[in-house]
Amino acid sequence: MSKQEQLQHQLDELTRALPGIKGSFLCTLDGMPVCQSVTDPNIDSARVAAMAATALGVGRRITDTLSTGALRGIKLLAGEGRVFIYMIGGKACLALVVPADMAIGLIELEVSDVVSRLTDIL
Amino acid sequence: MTPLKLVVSGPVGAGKTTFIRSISQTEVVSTEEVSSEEIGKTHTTVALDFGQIDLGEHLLHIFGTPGQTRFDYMWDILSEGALGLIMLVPCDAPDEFPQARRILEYVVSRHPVEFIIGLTRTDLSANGWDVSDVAAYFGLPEHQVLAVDPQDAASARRAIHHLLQRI
Amino acid sequence: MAIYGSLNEFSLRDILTVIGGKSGVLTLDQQDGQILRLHIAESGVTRMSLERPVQARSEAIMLLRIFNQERSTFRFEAGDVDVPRQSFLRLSEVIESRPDTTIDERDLPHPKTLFLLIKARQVALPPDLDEFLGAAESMLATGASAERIARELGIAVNQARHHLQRLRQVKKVWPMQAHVDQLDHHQRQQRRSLGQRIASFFAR
Repeated sequence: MSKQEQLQHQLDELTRALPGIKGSFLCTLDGMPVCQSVTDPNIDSARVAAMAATALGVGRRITDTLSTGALRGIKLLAGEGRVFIYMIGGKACLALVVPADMAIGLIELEVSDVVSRLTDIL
Repeated sequence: MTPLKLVVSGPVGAGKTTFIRSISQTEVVSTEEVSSEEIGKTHTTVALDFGQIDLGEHLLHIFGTPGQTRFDYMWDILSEGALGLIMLVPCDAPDEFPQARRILEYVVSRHPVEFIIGLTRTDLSANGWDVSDVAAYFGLPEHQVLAVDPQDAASARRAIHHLLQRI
Repeated sequence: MAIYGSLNEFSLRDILTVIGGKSGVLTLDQQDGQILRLHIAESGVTRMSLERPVQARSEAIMLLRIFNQERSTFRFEAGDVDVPRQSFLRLSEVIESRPDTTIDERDLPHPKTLFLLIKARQVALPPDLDEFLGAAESMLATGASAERIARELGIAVNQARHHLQRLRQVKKVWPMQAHVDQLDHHQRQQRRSLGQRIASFFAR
């Protein structure tokens, strides 16, 4: 399998493991989409990629300034949904858009596996 | 006293981050990441640059925006409440002029900011557009466009002075 | 003085706007051996030469065909050119003879840029554009974006962007200048005195 196919496979597996997830997006740190697995057609992948990069960019400045170590991820909690953004190695990030009522514990379990697998592929 | 705000925008590679670093009295907060695209440099701004100048009775905050359209929400966020805008445009990259015009019209139509165009790289390129032709392209009077060297603090301050005179 | 670029980013209108009333030679290189040279003076073409001859119904149409090649590069060098008693082609005619439906993405405004109606401008519009203007007029009178117009009229955002760009080309609408249209006199005065006060800090 090519790298792109391997990455896509990981995201598709994540979608299977988290029924109800609206989309998972692998992006570069400068806001370009790499690949995605999307179940909600209203979500614009290009938008997610750019905004994930922005959020992480700001997040990294905060963690650097406050000396809390290397940023691993960001959670955005909102009334009708949540967005989780994780650093993948030093060059990419994974963004998940999920409904507000999805169990966070399950997400964390599945995601930590996927993050290390994605890191290995990249 | 609420800090006053200026915004520096422009297409990729115009010199926005450099400009703010030249004039800020405090260490500039930047959010640069490795660029995955060929843009002529290794890094690009993904959120903002932030610098600060103490004017005595006022504090001046200077914000730099990203240049790519995918970050257009930052043009809005950073221009909110701004007193003025400096659009940096590289004189030897006419390919970027439409993007510069798009950003300019977007910001100026939505936020009551006065603006000038700062034409950069005029010292670096023998083959760049000059001030009067760039003014013609943007449909602006010539006195609203001036050559700026973002690496030179004095030049950057002159540009800010020029902008503030218009407000 | 050099004016140059690629037709991928510059429309014919843009190029002619920048050239303005200057005299000189406009060279278009189609990057395939075909090169067009136009001698321009007083907003007219006084001489035209082509590297390879081309068949066309009229000079204007041939020019438009060449100007539609996006990979072409252009360069204008100002200078004196011979001005015969009359130029054989006015540049304004070249623009007007172009079917105005061919607008590229590069010319489309951002969907959220606000446009204002220029009430005083009288101009004849093709029926589809006239219809759009009629429907969007009240919104444009106070400033509206393609995004908002599309939403209210139930049309695609890109269609609204196209129509706005066409209206802009004939100067029936123009991007708003919020500092002019949205601030009242008192606010402008306040800003002006503030600007002057802090400008002195940067004067030295």
